[in-house]
Order: sequence, then C-alpha cells, then structure tokens
Amino acid sequence: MKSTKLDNISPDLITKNPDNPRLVFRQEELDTLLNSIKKVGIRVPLSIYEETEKKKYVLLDGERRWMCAKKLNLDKIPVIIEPKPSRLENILRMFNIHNVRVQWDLYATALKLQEVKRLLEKEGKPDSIKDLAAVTGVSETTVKRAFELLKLPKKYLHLLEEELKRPKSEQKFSEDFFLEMMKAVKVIERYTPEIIEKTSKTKIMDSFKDKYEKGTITNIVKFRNVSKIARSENAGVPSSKAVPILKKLISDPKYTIDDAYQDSVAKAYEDRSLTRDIESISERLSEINKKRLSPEFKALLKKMKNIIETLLE
Amino acid sequence: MKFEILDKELWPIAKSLITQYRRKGYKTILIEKPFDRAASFRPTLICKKGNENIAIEIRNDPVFSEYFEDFVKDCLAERRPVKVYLAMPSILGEEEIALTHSFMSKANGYGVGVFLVHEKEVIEYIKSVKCNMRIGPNDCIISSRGKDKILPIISRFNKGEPIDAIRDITELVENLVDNLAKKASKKRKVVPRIKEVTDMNFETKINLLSASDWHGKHQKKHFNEDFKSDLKSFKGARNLSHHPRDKVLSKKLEQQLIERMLMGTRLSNDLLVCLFK
Repeated sequence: MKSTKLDNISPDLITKNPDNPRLVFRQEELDTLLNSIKKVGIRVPLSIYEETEKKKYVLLDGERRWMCAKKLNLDKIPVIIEPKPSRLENILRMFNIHNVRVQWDLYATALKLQEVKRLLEKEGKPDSIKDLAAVTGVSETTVKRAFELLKLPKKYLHLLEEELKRPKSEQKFSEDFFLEMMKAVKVIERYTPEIIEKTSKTKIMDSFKDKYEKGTITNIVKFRNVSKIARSENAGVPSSKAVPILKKLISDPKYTIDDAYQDSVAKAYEDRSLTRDIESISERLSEINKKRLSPEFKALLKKMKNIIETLLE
Repeated sequence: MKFEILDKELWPIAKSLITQYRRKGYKTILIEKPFDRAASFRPTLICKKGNENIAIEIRNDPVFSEYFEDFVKDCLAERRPVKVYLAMPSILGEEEIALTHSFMSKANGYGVGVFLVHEKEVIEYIKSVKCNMRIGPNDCIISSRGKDKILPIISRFNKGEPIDAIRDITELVENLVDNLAKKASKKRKVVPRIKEVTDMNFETKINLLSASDWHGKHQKKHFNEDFKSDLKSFKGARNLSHHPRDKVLSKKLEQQLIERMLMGTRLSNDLLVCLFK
C-alpha cells in the first residue's frame, strides 16, 4: 500500500485539480472562509498528490482553503500528500471526499458524473445508474436527478450556471425548479401529446419559467398539479377537458396553476380521494365485532349515518 | 494571463483594467501576487510604473470585507507606497450596482479608490491616495484646541492634495507665530512694540520668541532651542511643489511631504497650546 505523509508547503507549489466538479465558489462564502483563516489559520490539512514531472502538487481536497491561503499570502499550509491516483481514481476520490459534505451543486455533480460514465465505458466497466452510484458514493436518486438535469435545453443550463454563482438566498431558479418543471412537461408529453405537437417543449418551459419569474407560479411544488391535470383521465376527467385548460395555462401569462387545477380536475381528485376513504372505512367497519363497540363509537357511527341519510335523500 | 483565484466571471473586468494600465505605461502587471513578501494579502492586480504602484482587488459586489480592511490598514501602517483600489462591475445583471453610504465612507476613510467597470469602460469613481501619503490618527497628537484648525488640513492631505495641505499648514504655522508674537508684545512679555512686531518677517519673529534678551533688554523666552530650529527648518516647506519625473526624486519628495506635514501638525499644535496658555 502506498503511503501518505503530512507536511507544510507553500501554497504556490500547489495547482488546482482539473477534475474538481465544483464550478462555482460564491464570493460571500469565500469571504467568510478568508476571514476565518485570517483569524485562526488552516486547521484541517489539504489533500494533495505530487505531480513529479511538473514538480508541482495537485489538489485533491481543499480548493477553497488553498485559494484563501494564496489570497492571504500564507507562507506555508498543512497538507497530506497522497499517492498519485489514475484519472478515474482521481474523479472518484473527489466524489468520495466531497459527497460526504454535500457541497457540490447538483449541476456540477452531473457534469462530472457524465465524465465518470464516459471513463467507465472506455475501461469497459459497467456504467449503469446503479454502478455510477456505487463507484461515486452518490445515491442512485441523485445520479438519476443529475442526468435528468443534463437533459435541459442549453439555454437553461446556462441560466442555471449563472444562478449558481449567486448566494443561495438570492437564487431565483434552483436545480429543483428545473427538475419539477421538467417532470411536469414530461407528463404533459406522455398524457397529452397533442399539446407538444402544437407547442414545443421548450416553449412550454419558457412559459412556466416566465410565470415563475413574475410570481404567477408561486411555488415549484405547484408543478405537481400540472402533472395531475395532464393525467386527468386517471381521475375520470376526459382529456378533452384538460387539454384546453393546459393550453390556456401555457399561453395565458396570468392564468395560475391553482386556477387551472380548480377549473379542471380539482373536484374529480377530491371525489376520488373521498371514494377511496369511504371504501376503506366501509371495509374496516365490516370487519368490526358488533359486541365490542363502545357507546362513544356507536354515537359517532349514528352521527355519520345521519349525514349519509341526509346526503342520500 | 492566468487567474487562479479570481472568479471567471470577473476576468473581463481584470482584462479591461490591465488594458487601461498598459496604455498608461504601466509595464509590470502582477496577477494575484503580493506587494511584498510581508504583505498579508494578494490583490488581484498590482500595476507598477516608476514610483507608482496600484493594487487592485476585483470583486463582484461593493463590500469592504474584514480581510481587505486588514490589508488596507496594514498598507497604511507599513506606509507602503501603493494606491489601493476596489474594482467591480458597474452593472450587476440588469441593475446598476449600488454603493452604500457605509461602503463609501470606509473607502474615503481609508483612501481606497473605487473603479466601476462596464464592458471596456473603466470609471474611477473614487480616487485613491497612496498609503504612504496618508496621516493616520496614531501619527500625531492633536489637542482639543487644534482640532478645528489642523484636522481639516490633515483631511485635505489624506484626500491626495498634499501640496495644498502643506501650503495650508505652513500658513497656519506662520499665522500662529505671528499671533503669538503680537500677543506677547501686547502683554509686554517681549520687548518690541506691536508695530515693530507687525513689520518683522517670519524668521525674526521666531528669533524674537526664542530670545530671553532683546537688544540688551530682558524678555520672556517662549521657544526652546529645539522648537526654534524646527520652526526654522519648517519655513521652507511650502516650496515642496515641484514635480520630479525621476523615480528616486519622486520617492524623496513623497518622504519630504509626509515629514513636513507631520512636522507642521506638531508645530501648529504646540503653537496653539502656547498661544492659549
């Protein structure tokens, strides 16, 4: 087994790792780290490996600390020198180091996962989502979400890149926004293909993006109701009723998802939910032993009976 | 040109500044390097030409962060011959960048300049003053009597108008010596009458106030020998107004300006104390 060693070296001898998928370092976060390092120094050693030919060291872990050390003109910084990894090992090691800390943005992770997939394929190793999750230590769901994100049109990927440069509190469009929106568009495509035939997927996304930007769509979770409208037939509402409402939702900038939901499937879903509840209660009541009923429970049943009789009159 | 620390988004701003300074004849431009080995910070750019050194820190928002403030304090304390600037985009997205009052007063207070950059246009929004050409609160002691008269002159010096400030402080010293001589004459502490004192030149007034004997007659000695020689050596201060092109002479002039300014504040403060005793 190759050994690692602890040392103190000049930050000028270290270079960035080209495979670090974190693309964006936010200024506010860097400021906080700079102030902290200025006060207490670097407490946790950086991980590096030696690039013998170039007489340089390459970062494995601690890019932000290294940047701060350079900015603060520190003479020497504590490092752990590790053996030089192969390219694939390099990316995977970085996944393993950073995955624990949840620091990478999903988009940055997605780009590197794509690279890992390509390298695995080149080495003839399995590269399914499950395999990628196993080698990188990233959960299968995250791998799926990451690849889903890369399916976004280029202009949205660019927009996302720009958004990620801002502090979290100032970001308008998150990765989750795009993922929720894409899910809704996918359901529209599957259940009401006639809409996609007349309007492109990008146009639908543009419309939803504008509505979210202007506040007509108030929450990204609302996109789930768009999916429900598209799947109207599941709730017993014919598609012919849902399609014009979806079209209006796409074309009318002031028409909200809540309005569209109320105008189309809200009642049907409520009825369906109530039907399921009634069926479940009926089934459970039929299993109850009559002798074991308490007076309070009997009173409740009577109350319910009266309501049902009134409804049936 | 290679930036290791600067955010990629800010590279165009750095490039615009580099182009501007190259055009101005700054041949040496250092990227993310310290001003000297002991410096506690590496600004994004350091541009050098003769005795002119410009340190520029580029960021995307108008914030005076703690570590940057420490760097500026450090430059002032070490009297580094460098002008410090903060540069930022003038437009953030679609909005114009807003400089807050606290940011502006900090920048002015420390003599830090501000560049606003939009595409290739560089605007010097606040001028910077060389760190070795500023007088800090610890550099001189000013009594309560001197605050009204001396502080505005120091502030003028710190704003980057050293020649005007030197002229003001010289005038102040001359007026105070004149006032003191007249006051001493009125109170009969010195031999000459007020008309004679009025006709005296600056040097004679210094001699008068430093003598315990005036033409064989005893009088009160106001200045000791050290103070007298300081006043005499100070009287040429207002002549420090030439513009040397040579790097060595330019450094020498800067050194003289700050020394004379500090001397002027000390002398005027002592004269004010003496005048109101």
